[in-house]
Amino acid sequence: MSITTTLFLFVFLPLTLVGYYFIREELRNLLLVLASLIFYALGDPKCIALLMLSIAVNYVLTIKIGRNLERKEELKGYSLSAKYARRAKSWLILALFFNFALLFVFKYLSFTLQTVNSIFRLSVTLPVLALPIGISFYTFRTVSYCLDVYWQAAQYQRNLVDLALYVSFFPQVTMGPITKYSTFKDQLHGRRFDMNLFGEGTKQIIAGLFKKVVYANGIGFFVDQIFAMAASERTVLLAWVGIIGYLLQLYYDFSGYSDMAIGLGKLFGFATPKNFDYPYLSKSIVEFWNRWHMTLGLWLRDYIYTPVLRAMMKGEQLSIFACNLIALFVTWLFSGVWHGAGWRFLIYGLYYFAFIAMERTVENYLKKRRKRLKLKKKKDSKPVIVISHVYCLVVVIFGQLLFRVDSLGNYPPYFLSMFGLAGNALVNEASIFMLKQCLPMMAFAMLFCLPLVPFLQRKLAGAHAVSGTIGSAIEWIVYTLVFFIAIAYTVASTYNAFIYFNF
Amino acid sequence: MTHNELMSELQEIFREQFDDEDIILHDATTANDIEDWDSLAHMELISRVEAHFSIHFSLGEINNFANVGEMCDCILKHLAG
Repeated sequence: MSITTTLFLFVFLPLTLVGYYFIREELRNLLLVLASLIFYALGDPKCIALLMLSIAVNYVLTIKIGRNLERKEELKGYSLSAKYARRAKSWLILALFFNFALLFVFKYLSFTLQTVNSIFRLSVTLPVLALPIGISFYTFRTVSYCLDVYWQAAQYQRNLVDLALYVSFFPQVTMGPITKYSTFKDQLHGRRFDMNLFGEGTKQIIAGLFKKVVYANGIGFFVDQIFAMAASERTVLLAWVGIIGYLLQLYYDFSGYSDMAIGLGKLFGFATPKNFDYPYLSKSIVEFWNRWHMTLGLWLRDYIYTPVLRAMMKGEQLSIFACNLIALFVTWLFSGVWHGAGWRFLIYGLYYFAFIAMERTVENYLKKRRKRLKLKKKKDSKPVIVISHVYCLVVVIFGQLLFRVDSLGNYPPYFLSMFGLAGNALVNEASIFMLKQCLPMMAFAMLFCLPLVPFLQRKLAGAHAVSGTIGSAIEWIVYTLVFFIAIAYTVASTYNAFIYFNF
Repeated sequence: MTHNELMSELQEIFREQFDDEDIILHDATTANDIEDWDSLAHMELISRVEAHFSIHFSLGEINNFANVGEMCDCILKHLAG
């Protein structure tokens, strides 16, 4: 089930909320788990067993890890302690193997087989397995849990219901945000109804719904048409409208979902880390990835980058700068592969690695130079800031094009059409007609890529003429209007899945 | 070693790491308060702190320091044995 459907918004969610706040506190997590499993089964009935298997196996294996670590601590100072440490490590390896094997079989096996067949000219085939919804997201959650237990950042979970809630919590199971277990665990008990949090959550759900059904779907309608054109028929104007439109669609689609997921969490008393922070305002690729899909970035930092960097630094054979580049390379390779099975995604990860490595190299050089000349770091001048913004947007445009094209082979024709090198015209009447149709929507979407809403909220709160109550009433009237518009779009539109839904 | 003594030693390590004599640490100081405190600098800082106090942080600890105060508490825990 999608969280933008009327079934979810007007049946599933109200029923879950009523049930949640009317039953005894100690049964609330169980109710949320049942609701989450029903939610998942309504979207992917065939793979619900796989999700439950993942929860059960991780539950058992982490108990093994945790108990061995406990024994290791009890026997600290004795030789037996090392034996339990080794055992804990073995259970961790088994747990990681299970989680990544699950992901590999469903997400990468078909691509791997295809590659092996083409290299060795074989024709080995296997039945095509459908990708279980959210497997990339919930696998990262289970891996986070296993590693947090092994690194003793969290106690192993004795309560199966609590672990099941972490892995399957319905707002987050299909598309994140990927909350770390060490962050989530503190919220498993003691959640209270908080009117302010509930109100905030409701507003976030409305804003996210609007982003998805109005902006992302509206712009996506044009983007799909432009990308479906043959390169020679796509004018230069449309090629640029198409890719800029896609950048907006992707942002509103994913950040819209994230806003809804965070808002839904708040209705049940959960605080979820934010996933987007106006990424198109970035002045570098490093900054862009600190503002885009932030929970994935944090996951990669904590579970890939940091361990790899620490292992490299321990070796003491390479400079810190070289260690950092290697850790970044591994992290971005992993990130690319996580985004999808295929060479296109591998290149996608390495493309961003190349720019991040370049930025780090320049930064490292400038830092050393400042140190040598005993100079203080100056603030960037306005032209430098403008150039930085343009640089970042250009890199992101060509990077996200890789993400949008159906195959690697479709990248060059689209790229060439952006510069009139695919035998295409600069502009024609049909393209101007299309531009006129999508321009108002795109202009508004671009405007709201800026922190306009927080700015208006601050203004409203700070206006002396408007009292707190009136300001709040105005805000709620606006959100109610936005909600009705979003619902009208939801009812009128055909089903439109989230871009990250198939991850 | 008291919390305050530790904080003042830590402040020197921070100043050296970030090459900034103006850094003043508080319990609530986070990476957002110090320019250049990114993931790499964090790991370099961790190495300096570990070498200075002859301790070894676990990856779980490294990933979960919410602020300097929590880092201090963790160092004190290691120093206590």
